[in-house]
Amino acid sequence: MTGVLTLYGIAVTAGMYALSRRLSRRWPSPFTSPVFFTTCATMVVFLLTRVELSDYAEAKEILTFLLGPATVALAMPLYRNRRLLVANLVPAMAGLIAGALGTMLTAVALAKALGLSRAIVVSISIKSVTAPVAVEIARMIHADPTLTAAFVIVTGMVGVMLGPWLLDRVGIRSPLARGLALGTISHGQGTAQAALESELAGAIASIALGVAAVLTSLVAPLLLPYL
Amino acid sequence: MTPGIEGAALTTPAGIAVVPRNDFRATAAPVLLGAKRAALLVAEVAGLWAINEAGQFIVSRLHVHFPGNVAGMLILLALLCTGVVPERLFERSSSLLARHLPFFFVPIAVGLMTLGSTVVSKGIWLLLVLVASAAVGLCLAGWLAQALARPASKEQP
Repeated sequence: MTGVLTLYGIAVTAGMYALSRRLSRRWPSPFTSPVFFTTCATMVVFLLTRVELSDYAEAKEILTFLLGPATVALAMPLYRNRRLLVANLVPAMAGLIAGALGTMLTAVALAKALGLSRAIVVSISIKSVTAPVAVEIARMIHADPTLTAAFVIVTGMVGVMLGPWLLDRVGIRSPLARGLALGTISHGQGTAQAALESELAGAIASIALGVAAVLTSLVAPLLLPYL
Repeated sequence: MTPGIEGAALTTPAGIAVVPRNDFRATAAPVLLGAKRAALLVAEVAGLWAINEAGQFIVSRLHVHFPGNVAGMLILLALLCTGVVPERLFERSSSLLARHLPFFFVPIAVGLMTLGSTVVSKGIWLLLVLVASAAVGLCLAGWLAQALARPASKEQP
């Protein structure tokens, strides 16, 4: 029985993912983006067909197996664009550190000011990191991986919907600065958005995504006692 | 290629044998090539997996608070920079994994099913925190990078 349910869980997830790729190609929008659409559609199908989360546990284990190798593979864009980082070391690293720390501290301060629970504060502090790393940090600092994943996904969508408009508004026109900001704050989705703007923006965004992951991994455990 | 085989089929008495063999080659070659590609891809992913395991092992042995998969990423970066691992070794698998990254962590986010009530009751506030903190981060990163990059680019021409 669990075997059947596991297969069903995998089939639903894969089916919704395939559907989302078609939808996002036809109607590109943050709401048809594979990550958002697949998550929502899979949850709806499970609720309608009365699949419990415990029935999905094994499928989840199988499907998330490749998250580790996928994270290791993030070294490739870092290596490929290393000269771009070295050529712009000071502005890139300064922007990256300020952006990554700034967004972490703002999120934590606001969440605390609003009286949100500690579980939420801890999970929200790492929402600007690429999802596989955020989930791993969440396990390390005893945050809720699920809540963290949700915050990461929404942050990616916010960056894509708000980012280009906001950067226009505050007069940030250099492709380097735009790509860096999008990659640092909105990880994978921001990087995809930056790549649409220009090749340089996309390249620097993919660097920013990787370096921000390392930076946040180092800072999150240090920040934990103050949350 | 095809005309030559056709000519051979016309002239040789064993023409019937030649034609099916040609058909076999035409259909089997792509399949074999596909199987070879798939096997290489699996081997590449296994390599990335092994590096990830190495990262996890080192982190747990050293008792440091650092994610093992990020350690794995740094190991691969070091291997690439020192030339131990050529860039093309993981080219295919890394682009495939990057392209389908959302698929691999969607199952974790699906767990939100049971956390629905917490998230919905606080939804507006959570969204406010996420939007405001993203805006602050975007502006800080963008401003600083642009301000520091500008003098350098003016000197260039």
